[in-house]
Amino acid sequence: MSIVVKNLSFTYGTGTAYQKKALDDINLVINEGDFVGIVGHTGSGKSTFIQHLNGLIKPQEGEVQVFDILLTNAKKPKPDLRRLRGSVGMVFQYPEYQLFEESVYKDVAFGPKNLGLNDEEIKERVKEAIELVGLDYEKVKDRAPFELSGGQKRRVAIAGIIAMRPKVLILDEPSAGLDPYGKEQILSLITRLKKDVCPTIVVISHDIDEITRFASRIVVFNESKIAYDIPMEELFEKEEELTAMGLDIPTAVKIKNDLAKKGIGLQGQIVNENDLEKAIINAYNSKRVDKNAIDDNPGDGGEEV
Amino acid sequence: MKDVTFGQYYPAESVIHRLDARAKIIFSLLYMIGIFFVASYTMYLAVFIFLVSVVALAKIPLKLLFKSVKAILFILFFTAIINVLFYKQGNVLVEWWIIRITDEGINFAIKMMLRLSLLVMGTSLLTFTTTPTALTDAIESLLKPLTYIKVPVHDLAIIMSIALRFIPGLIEETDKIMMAQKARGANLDTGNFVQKIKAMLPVLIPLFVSAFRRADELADALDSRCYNASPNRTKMKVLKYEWRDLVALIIVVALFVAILLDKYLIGGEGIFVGIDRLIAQLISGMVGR
Repeated sequence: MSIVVKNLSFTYGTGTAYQKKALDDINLVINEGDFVGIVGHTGSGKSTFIQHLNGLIKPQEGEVQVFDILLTNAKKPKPDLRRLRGSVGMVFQYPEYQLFEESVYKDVAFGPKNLGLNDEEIKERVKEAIELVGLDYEKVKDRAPFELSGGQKRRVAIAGIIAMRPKVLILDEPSAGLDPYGKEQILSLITRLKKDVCPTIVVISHDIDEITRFASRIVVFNESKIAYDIPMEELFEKEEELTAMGLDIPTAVKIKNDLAKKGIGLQGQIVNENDLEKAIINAYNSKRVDKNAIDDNPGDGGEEV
Repeated sequence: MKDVTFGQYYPAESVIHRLDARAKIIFSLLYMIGIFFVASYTMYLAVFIFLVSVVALAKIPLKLLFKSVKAILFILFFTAIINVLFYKQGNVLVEWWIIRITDEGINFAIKMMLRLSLLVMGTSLLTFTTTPTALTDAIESLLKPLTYIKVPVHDLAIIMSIALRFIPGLIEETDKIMMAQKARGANLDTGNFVQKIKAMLPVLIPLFVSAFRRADELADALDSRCYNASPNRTKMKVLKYEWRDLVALIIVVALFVAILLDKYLIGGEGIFVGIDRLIAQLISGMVGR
């Protein structure tokens, strides 16, 4: 188990006019190798939640355990925050807004430097990280980050996190504000990272079509609580409840449901486009086999799939 | 960053919040001038009671008011100490080298502290109960006569309201960037002064970049809607004086008159002359022994 969260609660602005409960008794276990998608309406508490995972917010109630580091509201013992931030990488929304150095190299090296590594190690990690995010190390290392394109800037920012070699990577709306091409690149980057570098990934997204493409598990936040943490197929049967929370079900599931209403049942788990595509091909093929078998009975529906 | 109380709006439903913003500015000015005429401890007490009642009416927690004084605590004590040490008049209690402590000096220092804290508490009351937009509208309206001598009042008001509008956004942005850099292992809290300044660079540079970007976007948005600061623009919310502004005016003027009467008619000794003398004697007695 990488991350265990127990009875976590958090309130903003206690005692002021702006008091707001952001987290209410959250319990969650994230296992090694999980690809967790967190969805929820604006203000449901998901951003506050992930900020707890690398100690940016101190728990007010309850506890967060990340590997062997325990975070509670107690003053002592002090958790080793530097080590924590090295093992949990956090990519914020619009991470390109955090770039500040004069060259891409220096900016990516900022994290590893803070971890207290030596120059040689830093150089190796920076090179590796820049190449991992799909940029040409020799070409970009001396350029100013501000003269890169939007998608490139974002990849540099992500490289800055990866260079710290985290064991868990958390991304908040990683594809927000990019064009379809940039989006596609960031998404394939995340899948690549999961495979090669960082086995446990948590992604916040509001695009359910996007997140179901790679997440192995979906956690739904609603009004400061975890509303659902159940297998995806079961989750998407609750269309009404999700709509009430301001969330959508994947287009693939909608198509499956619509087809079912017309009398065409598809087999297997369907949560994203790929599943749907396969299921439709399977259904089509089996239909053809059926039709060939009982060719003399054309009156059984005649659906074109 | 969120602990900045001075100049922050505190939303509540109250008579004080509903007062006309222009009236409130004028009241604050009267109050500020009045404070400098307060001569006796009794009158300080009276002003304090007035202030607390206004705060109660405005439904603002008293704690918030005291917090605004906390911000100037250093200045408060600094001026008090300087006054105590170098005030020349009155009966000498302690004399050593160039330092001379007198009973009047101590009195003066205490009054100075009271004056400054009442000043800060009173003026922060204005921003606690008035939204920044109402405030700029009011200032524009009050400065209107200056347009006759070609002062671009409307432009100034717009610049001010845009600046005010940017503050919460920039505070939020600072918080976000600080979080992001902390997540990259930046150490923003420890180290000596120079180290701290250096550590703030990763926050300041992105903050400036984003401030310029926002300003640029806003300018484009204004341009694309053909905005120009013509003097004939109309307002969505027109300021209008109500009966309650008149009542408030009477009360504030009454306080002002009381302060002046106390100083010039009763001679700064307070309505209860005895109490004031007693306090003064007590202080000089304590130090003198």
